Amino acid sequence: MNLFEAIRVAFVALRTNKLRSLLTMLGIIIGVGAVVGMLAMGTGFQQYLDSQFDELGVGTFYVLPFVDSNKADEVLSAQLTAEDARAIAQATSLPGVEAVVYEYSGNASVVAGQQRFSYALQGVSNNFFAVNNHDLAVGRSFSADESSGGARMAVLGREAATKLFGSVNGAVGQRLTANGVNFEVIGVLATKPGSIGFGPDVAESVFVPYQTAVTRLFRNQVTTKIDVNSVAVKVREPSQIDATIKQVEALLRERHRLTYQNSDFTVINLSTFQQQASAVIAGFNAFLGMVAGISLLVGGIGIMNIMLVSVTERTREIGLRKAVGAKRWDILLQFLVEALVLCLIGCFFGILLGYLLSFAGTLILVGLFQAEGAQASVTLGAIALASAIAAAIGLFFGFFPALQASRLNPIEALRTE
Amino acid sequence: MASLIDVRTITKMYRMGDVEVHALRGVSLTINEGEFVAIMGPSGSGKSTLMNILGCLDQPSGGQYLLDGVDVGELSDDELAAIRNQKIGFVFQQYMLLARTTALRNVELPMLYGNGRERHARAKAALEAVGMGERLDHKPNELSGGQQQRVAIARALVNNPRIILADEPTGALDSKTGEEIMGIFQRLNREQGITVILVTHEHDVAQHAARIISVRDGVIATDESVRNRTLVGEGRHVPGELEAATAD
Ligand SMILES: Nc1ncnc2c1ncn2[C@@H]1O[C@H](COP(=O)(O)OP(=O)(O)OP(=O)(O)O)[C@@H](O)[C@H]1O
Ligand SMILES: [Mg+2]
Repeated sequence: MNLFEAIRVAFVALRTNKLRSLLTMLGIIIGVGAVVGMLAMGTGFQQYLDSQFDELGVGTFYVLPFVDSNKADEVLSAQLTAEDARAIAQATSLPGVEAVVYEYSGNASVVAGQQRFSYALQGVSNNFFAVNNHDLAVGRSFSADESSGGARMAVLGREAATKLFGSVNGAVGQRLTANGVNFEVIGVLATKPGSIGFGPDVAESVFVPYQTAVTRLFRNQVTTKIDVNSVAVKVREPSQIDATIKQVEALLRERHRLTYQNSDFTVINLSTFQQQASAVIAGFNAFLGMVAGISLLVGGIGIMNIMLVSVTERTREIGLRKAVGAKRWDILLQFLVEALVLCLIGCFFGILLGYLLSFAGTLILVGLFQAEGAQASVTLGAIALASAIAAAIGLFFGFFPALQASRLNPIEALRTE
Repeated sequence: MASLIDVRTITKMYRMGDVEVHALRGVSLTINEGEFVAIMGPSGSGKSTLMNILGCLDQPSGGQYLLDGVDVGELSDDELAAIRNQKIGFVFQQYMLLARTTALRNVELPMLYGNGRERHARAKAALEAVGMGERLDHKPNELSGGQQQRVAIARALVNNPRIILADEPTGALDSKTGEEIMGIFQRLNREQGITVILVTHEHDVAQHAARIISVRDGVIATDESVRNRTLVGEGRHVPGELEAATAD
């Protein structure tokens, strides 16, 4: 018997018991639907995280004024200054460095009219906005001259602007007071709240030139050893990041007169966070996949059960087929194909169900995980995986009943009622 | 020339727990190409057991069975299946048609497991040969018992077998319809030279054969040719003709 004929016979058999076939398929439909839906959600979450990390800038690492006791033999006090940052930016020995951003931030009480709030006030180098891809919704940011000259100008995060001045557009040109110092608002950032980032939430911050912050606002807090909260180093090629980290460490040790091995600063590479986050998602996917797999297993057992029933019901037919010349393989093929067709039809509807579930997945990502803009998406890979699993289940659970059918003795089979 | 069927002291023993049932206790017989043989005997005498062995559905416990010169005892299950497919056509008392399947599809069945060329045309020709050319798309539940048995005969015919084996083919039919079926067997035997072996309980039916073998307790009791053989005039006859042919 050829495959085409086996498929035709399988369809006839399934059509004969429509309701039974449907109920049997239900296990596969739900299992495949679960697999596809879960994978869609996992994919959506992964894409969301990737885009968030992309916003942060791929290939950016941070130097912080903390001492990682694991990386120092002796007790050191932390050291990191804006001078260090400028040295990194200007060093000819660091070809991989594209930009260096530094900032000093602290809390400040901000007053605008009758409104008084406590905000994260960040004194940033003037390339902060461009390097971190923070576009301006309105207005402008400080120029290099304004920055080094200690201009009293402020750029607001979106939320800060609406809270202080009622709207984004109305904020530019207004004045505010931070820790008693007067500033003119020159721009508002477009960045949405809640984005993953380093340091305070951008949307809830007030930005002023670095020079202004350290000389006027936080003069009592900065020391000769620490006058930045962080130095962000962006490399030209993400692949250069590890090499560049080593070079920067060497440069800083030299400037701080430290021996090899010792550091009085800490380097943080966000791409390792990204890898960790991806690993967590992979684990989450694997767990959900296992749950879905169990439901598929149950579906497979249902298939096996119904195939055994089918073989028993059609014992006479099997006997007849054998009497007119069917070989073992012919009978095996017939029932295996029937189980396979059952699973693959179930798989087809399961994929449709998974597609519907992916919409629910999007709602969960946005509502429950607060992943704004995330979208669960059914990928071709997920469809291929689900189909492969369904086929494997059909073959695996269909095999035993089919084998049993193929081994029936034709005489006894013909004699059964 | 060697016989088509050459059975040498075959035995068949079934073991039911501790009890051994000897269904055949040493049967020897030869049947030549083109013969028309009826096997008779009381219930439980071993007729079906013998037919199953002749039809390569079963193998003897002892002795030898040469079919067309081939020792069937040496063959594997799949080789036996191939022999059944090419050389043997079965007709059963209960017709054994696939339900919800058209006459044409039923007749095509043996061709799925062998030579499948021109399946439709050959199945149609076989159905026409048994007078069912007008009923190609009927399903078994839309056909009378006699019509169903005709379809079953067409199925047995379709691979041009050397032998047709029929275990009580008229057992479920009234005598008139049974007569028609016997007419078809006689015509196939006469016109196509197909060897026909059938089992029956009824003397009237056995009289259509040219030779009657009677089996008793697993051995052959008598084996003789038929005098006054009943000949049905035409397989696809009109009722008047049939009555004339069976009048004596
Ligand atoms: N599979 C089997 N297992 C055990 N005993 C069997 C089996 N098949 C047949 N027999 C026994 O073998 C003997 C012959 O059976 P068989 O079916 O050949 O008889 P039969 O002549 O065809 O009878 P009937 O006219 O009733 O069809 C019987 O005693 C029967 O019980
Ligand atoms: Mg019998």
